[in-house]
Amino acid sequence: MGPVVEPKKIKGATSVDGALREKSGGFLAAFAAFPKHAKFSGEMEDEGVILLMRAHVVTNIPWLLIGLILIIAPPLVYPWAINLELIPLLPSGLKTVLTLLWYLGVFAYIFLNFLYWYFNVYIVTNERVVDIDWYSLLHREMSLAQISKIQDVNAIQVGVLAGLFDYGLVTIQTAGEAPNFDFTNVPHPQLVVQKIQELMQAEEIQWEPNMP
Amino acid sequence: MTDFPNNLSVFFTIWFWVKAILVAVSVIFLVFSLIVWRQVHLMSSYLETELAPLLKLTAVGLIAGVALLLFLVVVLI
Repeated sequence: MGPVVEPKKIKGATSVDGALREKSGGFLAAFAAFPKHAKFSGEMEDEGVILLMRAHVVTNIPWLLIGLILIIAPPLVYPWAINLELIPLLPSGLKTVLTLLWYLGVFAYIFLNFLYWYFNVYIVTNERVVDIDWYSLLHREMSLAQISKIQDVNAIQVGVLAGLFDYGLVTIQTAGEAPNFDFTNVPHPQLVVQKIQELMQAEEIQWEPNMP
Repeated sequence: MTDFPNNLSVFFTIWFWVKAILVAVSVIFLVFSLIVWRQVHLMSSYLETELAPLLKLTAVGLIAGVALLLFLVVVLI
């Protein structure tokens, strides 16, 4: 872990840092402001992570429910299937092996889903926005854009759950060939937009004296 | 009594195929868990966090579990 770099002081903009820190959670949270131990690949010396975001925890409910059902299914279904003579009574060795195979499969399913949630991150630093996506075991994508390249940033919240738990989509449009960014299902999208706008203003102030 | 050798033959054929399928599934699962373990290392290199060592350990645990499964398939069945 490298030294934590404090983000640049921003002149002439309303600071939202207090609100960000207030909403920030621990190392398992979907929203972390100024995380102390987070470092991403390609991070520069004078760069400091301001926001580290993942999809809101609520978006994990479907796979968590499936995982729970898969965990409780065998002790419920097996005796019932035996009673109805749908399957034969299995020898104890085969039963042990099949049980172990089933629960290892369930564990792998839950573990993989957790990994994809945990490592699909959106990062805002004082210099750049970064989007690290893992689509499958063999497909990953990392996109970066300078704050100075950002042209527009918007927050979109659709649905009851998004309103209730305050999460949504943050779209970032960039100039030139830099990719556009979609921060999907991130917590507190309005705060994220405010912070990025603040950083954009700071970049403009930084460059203004050099302009003719 | 005349059916006995035939039944025994069917039993051993089924037993052989059950064992063969379970061995094949366990080997595929073992390869899959090795890929997961590699993936965790790769993911941790993109984003260093406090949880990374625990996740790496969990991936090793998965490999150990599948290796145990393969052992049990060979020994128990």
